[in-house]
Amino acid sequence: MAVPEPLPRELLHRGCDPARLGFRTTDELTPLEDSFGQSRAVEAVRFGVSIRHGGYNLFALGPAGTGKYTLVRRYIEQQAATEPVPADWCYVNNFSEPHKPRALCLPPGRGAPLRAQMERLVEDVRAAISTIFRGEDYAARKQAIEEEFKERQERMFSGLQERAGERNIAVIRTPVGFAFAPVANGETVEPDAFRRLPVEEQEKVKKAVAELEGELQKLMKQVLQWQREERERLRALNREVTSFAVSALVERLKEAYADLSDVLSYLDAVCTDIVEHGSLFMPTDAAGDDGNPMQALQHAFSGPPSFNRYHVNVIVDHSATHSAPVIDEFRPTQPNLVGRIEHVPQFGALMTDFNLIQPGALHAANGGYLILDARKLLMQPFAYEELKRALQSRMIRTQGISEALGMSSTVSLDPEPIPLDLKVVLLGDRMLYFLLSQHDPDFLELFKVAVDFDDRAERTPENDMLFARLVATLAQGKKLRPFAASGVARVLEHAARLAADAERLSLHMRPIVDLLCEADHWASREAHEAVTAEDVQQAIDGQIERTDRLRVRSQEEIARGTILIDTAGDVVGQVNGIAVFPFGGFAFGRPSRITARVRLGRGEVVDIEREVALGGPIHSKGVLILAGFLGERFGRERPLALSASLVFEQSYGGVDGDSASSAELYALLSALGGVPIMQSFAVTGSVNQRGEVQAVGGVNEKIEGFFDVCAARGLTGEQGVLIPAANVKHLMLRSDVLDAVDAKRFRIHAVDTVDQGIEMLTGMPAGVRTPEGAYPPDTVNHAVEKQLAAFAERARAFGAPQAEQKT
Amino acid sequence: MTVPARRAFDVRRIVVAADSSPQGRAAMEAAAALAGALGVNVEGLFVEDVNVLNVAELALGHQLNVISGQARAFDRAALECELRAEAARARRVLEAFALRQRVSVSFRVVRGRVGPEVIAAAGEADLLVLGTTSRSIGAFGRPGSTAVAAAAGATGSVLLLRYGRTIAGRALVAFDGSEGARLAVEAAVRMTRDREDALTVVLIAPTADTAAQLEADVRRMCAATGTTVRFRHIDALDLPATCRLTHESKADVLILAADSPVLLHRQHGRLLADAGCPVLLVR
Repeated sequence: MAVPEPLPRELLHRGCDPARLGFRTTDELTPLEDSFGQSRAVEAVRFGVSIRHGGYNLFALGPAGTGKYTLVRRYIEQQAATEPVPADWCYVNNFSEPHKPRALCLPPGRGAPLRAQMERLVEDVRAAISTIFRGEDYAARKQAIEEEFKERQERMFSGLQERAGERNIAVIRTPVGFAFAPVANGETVEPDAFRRLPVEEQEKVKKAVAELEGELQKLMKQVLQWQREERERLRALNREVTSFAVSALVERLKEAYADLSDVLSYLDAVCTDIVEHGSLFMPTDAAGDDGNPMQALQHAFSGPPSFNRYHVNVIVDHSATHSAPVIDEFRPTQPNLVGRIEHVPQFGALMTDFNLIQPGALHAANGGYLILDARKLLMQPFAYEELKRALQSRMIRTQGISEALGMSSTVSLDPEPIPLDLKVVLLGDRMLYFLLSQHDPDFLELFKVAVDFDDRAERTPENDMLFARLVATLAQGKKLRPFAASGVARVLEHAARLAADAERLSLHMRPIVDLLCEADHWASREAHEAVTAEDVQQAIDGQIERTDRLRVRSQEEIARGTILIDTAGDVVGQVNGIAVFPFGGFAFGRPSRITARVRLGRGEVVDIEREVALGGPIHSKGVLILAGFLGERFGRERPLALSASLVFEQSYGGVDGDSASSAELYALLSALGGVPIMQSFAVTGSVNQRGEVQAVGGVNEKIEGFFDVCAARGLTGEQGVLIPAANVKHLMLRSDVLDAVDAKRFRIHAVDTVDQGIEMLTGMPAGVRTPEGAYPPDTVNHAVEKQLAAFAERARAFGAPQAEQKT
Repeated sequence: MTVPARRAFDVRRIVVAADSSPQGRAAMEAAAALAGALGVNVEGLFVEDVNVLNVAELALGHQLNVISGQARAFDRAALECELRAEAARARRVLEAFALRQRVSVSFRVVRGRVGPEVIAAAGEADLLVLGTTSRSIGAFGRPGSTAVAAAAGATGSVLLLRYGRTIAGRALVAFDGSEGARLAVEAAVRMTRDREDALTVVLIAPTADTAAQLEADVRRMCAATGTTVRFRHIDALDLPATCRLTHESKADVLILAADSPVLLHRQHGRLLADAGCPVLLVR
């Protein structure tokens, strides 16, 4: 079998030739108007914003940093600019049911004028009513009514007093009321004197007093009736003069809203209410002291009467809007979405009215677009449910959480719902989209448009140029220096490295933008007019240096021998695997010693990591595949009477993934065959049951991790890494690795099969089964099979006596 | 020739006719306020009406409740108890007003006929304060007999209050140059001290020159105070004119000398009925 040659530099890093880009700096490039690499998402957004059917709201899904918000916002703004300004909305008093405020819809920009005109109307009404009530005409009419009733009462009581006087009886005031007593010479008769009167005389007086008492009682009832009548007459008078003053003012206002029937009916209701509540507008002295005692108390505490009941609460004002609104709600709580009803303390109780209704984002975005972060929305109690309810009912119902849950026992408001017509755009990651699709039956009904953002784009010459224009656009947007072609080329290479693929470019914009800003910073330190490749490299190095403390410490411990890694010599049953450690936005590779031990057993391969619950399921799967491979290759003729154990030495954290399964298989074959493995190699790659080596992730970090260990000890030219051939297209290695490869001091081999790998690692042919069914001598497979046959024979020898006893 | 010494408006003892009715409260509040302004004590006088007690003892009929109209048989003990309770209520109210004005207060309860008792008390006081309106049934704002009697017969000054009207606003005083009128002006100046546009003086003079002299007199009296005065000149003043001026100037208190020609023919009842505001008669 041919042993693979070391990979040439060209396959280890696909560079970008600045000369091929065809410009000197990005100033020569036209900015990118469209998004880069997101054609699917763009089409979805265009479709989503243009379709006018219910439920076609958008969910922009994709990893963070792919520019979802920027792209969505841009296209929505473009669409919104072509759409009309939606209506203004106001809440006004519902005079017949004050706890159900009325919603008024007005053409855009006419809500605020209505509010101002209503304020003026109240002022005008106050002035007019004040003038009328302070006027002599009103005073005369009022006085006439009062005098009429006063005279009636005076006449009645005078008559009573006269009739009493004629019988020498006077009305006496007592602490709680009135009484009748006989008088003589203007003074009440002394008790002794009265007793001295003849009995007939006394009885006559008693009879007269009894009659007068009855008469007085009747009079007092009559007086109550008259007082009621007087109050009604005064109220009618007040209504009459108030109506005269108000109707003319309201009629004038109605002319301005002749085209709005709802407003007209509201103004009619205002007119009626002012007439009914004219006392509110009266001067204090004219209102008199016979009013409502609670009103008087309220006046004493809170000052002059408030005319809030005639205010207009403009909750949506589009007077300064020129197109359909596009609203971001960065804190999508339930109240921030549907609005809230505020309360104010009054006499120890929390009071509210329609003036305290505050709009939410749905009000602001009604007739336009609302952009929300899905994760934030879902984290807020009841926010998602309220949003769905609004979208399903196409109504905004402003209600507090406690009212919605029926937990509030106090009187609150139930404002008239407002019709809702908008598009909602949720931004979130894919997992959130899939979870909502899976678990929320309403979700796909309400968010029919999935805007799926890609996280990588193919690396073609055309895309390289688009990427260069993207760099130009971002640099201009961030007010950075122009980027030289070399700088752009380096950024582009870094984008490929971020994509972990030499043939792809990462579309994660956040790290790219960060890199551009930091490269610009270094360029400014060097007084470069344009950002060069060196500046970009310095930015990359700086990013790594700021975050690679763990990597450095790990390398130090290997160099000091604390972590045991051999990079020279041959050892049976031991191989260098490589693990990747992600740390925030930075990941690094570190070699790990993998060992295998074999003994007589029942055919099981023991994954020690799994036994101690440090191995993940994918790792365990990889180990079981090894057993499958061994069984297929060596167990057709006889049982596998071995027991093997595999372990990541000095691994104290969890191990997962199957990228070490090929290394584990090499260690196992070495242990079985007693064939030593060269420790100058490290290995990565997963393996299937047919012995094919498969691609793994993090191949660049893994190679660089082993390279760093070897470089620290001194590169010998024998050291290298075995990677799956399928990973060659992912290679975007560091320049120092490339330099070492060029100098033949480090090598990277790509293998397709386990046999290729074991040959590389042992220097011994793997061996192919001959037509007779045996492996040739002096091959790894022969040694392995020989050992397995010995195990099987020994197992059979151990089992034979028992079998005989059974028979 | 010896020039008779001029009397000054000097109030050292204020007596207020106390009861728990709204106008009784108004009288006590005004009395306490005046006592505070003048730096003197105030004394409350509550009269247990012997007529009421007699009626109770006669036991001829019932008390008719003023609010409900319900009849209740008389019980002298209960009635005396109610009178004591009313006196206690009045005392508490007066003490509260006095405390607010930071003046000392004393309180007296006497039993007898209300009119004579109040007038007798007025004889002991420099200023008697009482409500104007009758509490009799069907009186409808007419002056009470006690108020009229006190206005006409008290030996000291009398301030007659009306329910719902304060004396803290504008004052109208008539000045014809007489000794009594001068006292009235003095009283008015003291009551409106340091207030702008609070005093209107009606100069009663047959000629403009005389009026100018009177005006100069008043200005001299006001010189040491911060009171600003508005003057009106009238040839002669009678009762209807006085009441009309009071209404026109929207006066909150009318101040007259008790011996003013306006009150000739004992027209005190009519003055109290038509003035439409509290009246201070200065002696």
